[in-house]
Amino acid sequence: MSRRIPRNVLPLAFAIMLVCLLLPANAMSAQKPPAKYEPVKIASGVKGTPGTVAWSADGSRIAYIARKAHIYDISGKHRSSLKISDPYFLNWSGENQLLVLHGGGQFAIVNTVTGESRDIEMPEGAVGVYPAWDDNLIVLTEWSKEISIGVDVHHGLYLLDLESGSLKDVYVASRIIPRRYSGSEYLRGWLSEGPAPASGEALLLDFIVPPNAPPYVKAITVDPFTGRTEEILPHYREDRFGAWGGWSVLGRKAAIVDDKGHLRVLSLSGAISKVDDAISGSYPAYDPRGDRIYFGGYLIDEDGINRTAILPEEPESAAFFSPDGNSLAIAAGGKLWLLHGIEPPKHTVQISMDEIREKLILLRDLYSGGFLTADEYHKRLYAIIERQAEGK
Amino acid sequence: MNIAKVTIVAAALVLLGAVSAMADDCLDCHADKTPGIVGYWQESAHASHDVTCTDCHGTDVEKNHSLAARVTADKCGSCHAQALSEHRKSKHSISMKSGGGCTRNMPPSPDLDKTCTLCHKPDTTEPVVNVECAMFLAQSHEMKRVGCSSCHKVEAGCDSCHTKHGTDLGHARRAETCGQCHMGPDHAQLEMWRSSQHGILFAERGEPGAPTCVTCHMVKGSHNVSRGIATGKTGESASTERDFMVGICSRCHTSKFSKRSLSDADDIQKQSLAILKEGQGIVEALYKEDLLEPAPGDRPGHPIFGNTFVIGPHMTYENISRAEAIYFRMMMFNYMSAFKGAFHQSPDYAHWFGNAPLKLGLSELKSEAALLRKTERLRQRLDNLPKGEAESGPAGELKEELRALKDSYLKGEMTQEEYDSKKSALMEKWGL
Repeated sequence: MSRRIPRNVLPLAFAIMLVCLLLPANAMSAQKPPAKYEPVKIASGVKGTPGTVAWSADGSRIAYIARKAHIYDISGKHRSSLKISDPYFLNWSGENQLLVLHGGGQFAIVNTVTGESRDIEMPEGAVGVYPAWDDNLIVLTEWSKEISIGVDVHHGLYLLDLESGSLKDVYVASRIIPRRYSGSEYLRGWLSEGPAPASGEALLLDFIVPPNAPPYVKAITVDPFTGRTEEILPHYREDRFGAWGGWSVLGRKAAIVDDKGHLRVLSLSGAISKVDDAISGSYPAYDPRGDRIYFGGYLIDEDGINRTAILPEEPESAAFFSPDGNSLAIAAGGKLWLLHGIEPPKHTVQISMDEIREKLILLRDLYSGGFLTADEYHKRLYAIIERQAEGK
Repeated sequence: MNIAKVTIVAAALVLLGAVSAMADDCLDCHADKTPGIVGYWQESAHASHDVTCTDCHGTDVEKNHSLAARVTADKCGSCHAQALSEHRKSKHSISMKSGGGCTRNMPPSPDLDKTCTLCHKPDTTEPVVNVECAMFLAQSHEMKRVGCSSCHKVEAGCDSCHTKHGTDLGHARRAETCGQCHMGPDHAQLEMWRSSQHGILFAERGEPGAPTCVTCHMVKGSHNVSRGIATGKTGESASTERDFMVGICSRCHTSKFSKRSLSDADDIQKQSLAILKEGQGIVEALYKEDLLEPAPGDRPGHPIFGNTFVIGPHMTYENISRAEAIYFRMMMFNYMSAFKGAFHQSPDYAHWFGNAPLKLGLSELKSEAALLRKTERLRQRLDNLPKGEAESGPAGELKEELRALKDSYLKGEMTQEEYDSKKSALMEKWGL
């Protein structure tokens, strides 16, 4: 005896079948970038947040953290691993040298050819280490401790002299986040990409919760060379920001994210602009060729007019542009993809970073020799960068 | 019913007996060990009204013996409610001039806004300027106890004026009682009063023939000692408080004379403040020019702000430069003497302890600044001399041109504007 299937169930069954058929396809597209760029999966189990993937300066290798620290050689398509336990941050310094933070705040400089490493003591809460001038490294720190009324958050910028191993504190500050606001997103402060290209200044996005007054964001830049700090946003109450973000080509703008997951561009003149609030994400990264940002799975022009879907189903993906901008490493869903042939942005910025560096060295020389004050040094430095931006 | 009543009464009697026994217990030992305290209490109104040791000190013997228990103003206020309420409205209660007087040591008060912003700047954990606790924090524990809290405990206790175990109001009313704290170089009100016609009259005639501190500052026994002070941080509007004080003065003087006298004091305060501000500007400029020796970065850290430059109410008098020391004396001693001397009708304090040293301080500061700048210019000229062989290449050429320009400026051959303009043109010529 057969039982008739009620007629009104048929459309539902059809819909379920359709969904079942479509689901794997969606799941695939959620993990794999579009075929246009012939994506290559180079690793699994990657953390993928800023500071865990880094291109070498010549664009031939990618260092990344997937439980261990690895180096992927792009032309040879092979990988090697470093014998460093629990790495949480890595960055290139020179052709064959990696700076690695690991364990509970230990630091190692690793020769990627010989595998030899040198351990150096770090200040408490090191979150990033970056090459600076001469034999110096810039160390950014963030640490916090629970106190009775909330969380006591500390930020620091230090200079590490590699020759002597000594540390000099350039900037140290602390603030208290009351218990009602405690959340890890407010504990970070330094822009995750580290010091700005060209000027070398670091950006601190401080979330301040004063007693008896609305909370606000205070953004400052700190110059590791002169120690000068400048308030970019003294009291910004309209929004609050996480510290995951990246610098524009010349380092005079930063792409940051508000607490609703929307992309914002913070100019170091203090202006904040929206880009495209239809897109949400966490980890913005500027295209090194111009005014375009990878964010929430899209490449979006800074003016918000054009956007190209790269991985739209992965808003939490983080992109890492190669130094020439033609290739893109994307960390999404624990996998690391490599895409080549990324088209240049609509508005490209033609600059000579070598020329800026040359003038920067001369300015630093004059400042150290007492020929320039810190204010004069910065005024002239910004003018040089602006002239580059204007193509003069 | 009757049995129940009898039981309650019996229980109450037992309880009273127990409490009374506790007080007797204290006296058993303290009559031998601290007879002065016991004798003083026995003569007091407290003893005659059966206010015993435990009424104020509680029954925790261990806490009392370890000096951990303190009879605060709140305890006194449980009987003397009006006095406490008036005290809370006065500067005595909210002066917050030292860490010992910090509000964190005080019980909550309905009369005052005890929010975080009372002591801290809204955006930070930094104290606001009128919480002048830095000097306190810089002291040893002993000096904090003796030199700071002995006076500033008035914020949370009544014994500063009333003694710990006596209730003689005559003691509290004596000018010398106020003078325990209101004397000396920071604010010499006792000496000012003594040397004024008010004090001389009092020496001749005593009360009520001449005014003492309480005549003007504790009218009708009010514990709000800030009434009538138009420039204070408490009370009503300045004009209301001024009218109140004129009303007091007018008991003996004409209203016109009283107003002019107080108005003169207002003007002297403004003039003195202007001199002080000018001095502050000089010290701030020296700091910006990095001419303070020792520099804030090279000396032991400030107890609140660390190795930063601090001037004004939060500055300390330790490990500072000569210019800051001159300013400190101007601010803490001379400015205070000038205007408080005027308000307390003491010509000598207003002028020779106030106005004259304040102006001398400003002259000293100006001279010090000129000397420091002259020395700095000489140092810069020495630093600007070529060291060894001239550097080759474009950088060396630019440095030589800058060096020559700077030397010309340091010799006084051009103004700052001319130097800046020529330097700017040179930098631009080099693409910088």
